[in-house]
Amino acid sequence: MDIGETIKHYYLEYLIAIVFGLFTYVICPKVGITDPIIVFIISATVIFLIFGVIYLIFQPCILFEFGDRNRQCILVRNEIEKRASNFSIDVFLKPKFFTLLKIFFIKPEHLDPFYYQIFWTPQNLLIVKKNQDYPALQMIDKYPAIKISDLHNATDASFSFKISSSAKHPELNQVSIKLKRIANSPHSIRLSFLLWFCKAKLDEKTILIKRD
Amino acid sequence: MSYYQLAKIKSEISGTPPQVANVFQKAYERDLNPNTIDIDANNKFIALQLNPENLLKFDDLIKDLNIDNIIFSTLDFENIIDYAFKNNIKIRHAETNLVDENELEEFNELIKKRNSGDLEKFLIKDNVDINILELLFENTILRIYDSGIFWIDREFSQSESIPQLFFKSILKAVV
Repeated sequence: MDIGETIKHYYLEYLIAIVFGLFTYVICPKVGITDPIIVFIISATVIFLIFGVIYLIFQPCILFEFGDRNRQCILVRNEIEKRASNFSIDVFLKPKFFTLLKIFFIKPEHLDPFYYQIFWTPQNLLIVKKNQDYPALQMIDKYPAIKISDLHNATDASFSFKISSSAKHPELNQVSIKLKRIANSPHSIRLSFLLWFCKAKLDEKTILIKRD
Repeated sequence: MSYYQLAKIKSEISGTPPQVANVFQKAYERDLNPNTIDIDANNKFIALQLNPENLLKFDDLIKDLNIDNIIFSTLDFENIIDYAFKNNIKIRHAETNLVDENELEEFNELIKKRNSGDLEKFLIKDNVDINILELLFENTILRIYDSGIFWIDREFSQSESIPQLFFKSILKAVV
């Protein structure tokens, strides 16, 4: 890695160090604050506020919407034609998302360990299977998951899958489908920050499972 | 004529014949008229009969059987259609989410032409979901529902080699 790449790679760490240094050695002593603990608290608070403002400006930067717009889906266990239902989730990456990538010098391939998982509990209440090859849903821990880097610079995509009620937990008659962000150990502070900033908004969907 | 639920015997026990036999025996004792379909050592399926008497308590009857119900996605239906095209099996009917008459006509035309490539392109382009597929082979009508249930116009039994062979092929395509 040459010097330019190194600076790009660690610029966030350098930036935090510069803000800390500025407050510790210049601003705080100038206004008469010399107690190291107070200086540390002030510097940390300023950094927290800067990132807090960016966070508020940028969220949500990813939107997930169910294709059919209905908040509720009904599966009927004892009706052969109504046991399964098709779902599609439309994903929209807002321009803010791409701005964030630029701010953090992140390329789409850096987002590989970064998934949004569609989950419910208990897992074996529903059976799920993907309906299309591309863009493909991944299956992580038996839950469908969307890999953001699979969108290949597109701003939106639609993921289709099929859900059916299983024979497990016949006593349960309702489940909510939610969204969870997962990442396989991000290795840089930049990616950790990006994950923190990338707030996604998902339409929550309730699945009613009727017996007849 | 009967309805059957297709289920996969859990892979943890599918390699252990006594445990598979135990699943079969339990299903038999519960009047589910079971039929096993073996794809290979790790992929074993079972078809369990649904009837008006057991339909309401079906989930209770199978919840401790070490099986997982299967579902057919649109991708699976695509594979089944492809298999049907290649093996001279007639597609009698397909139910989809299409509502536009022109699109429906185009879909039925592609089925008639038996062209897998064009059909696949059409399904992808218009986000078509297939829910039911009805096939005709050797005078046997088979209707496959996306919920993993199938209807056959005769008793599905192990003595009939054609349905067994057919199911082996379609299940190979969907596992």
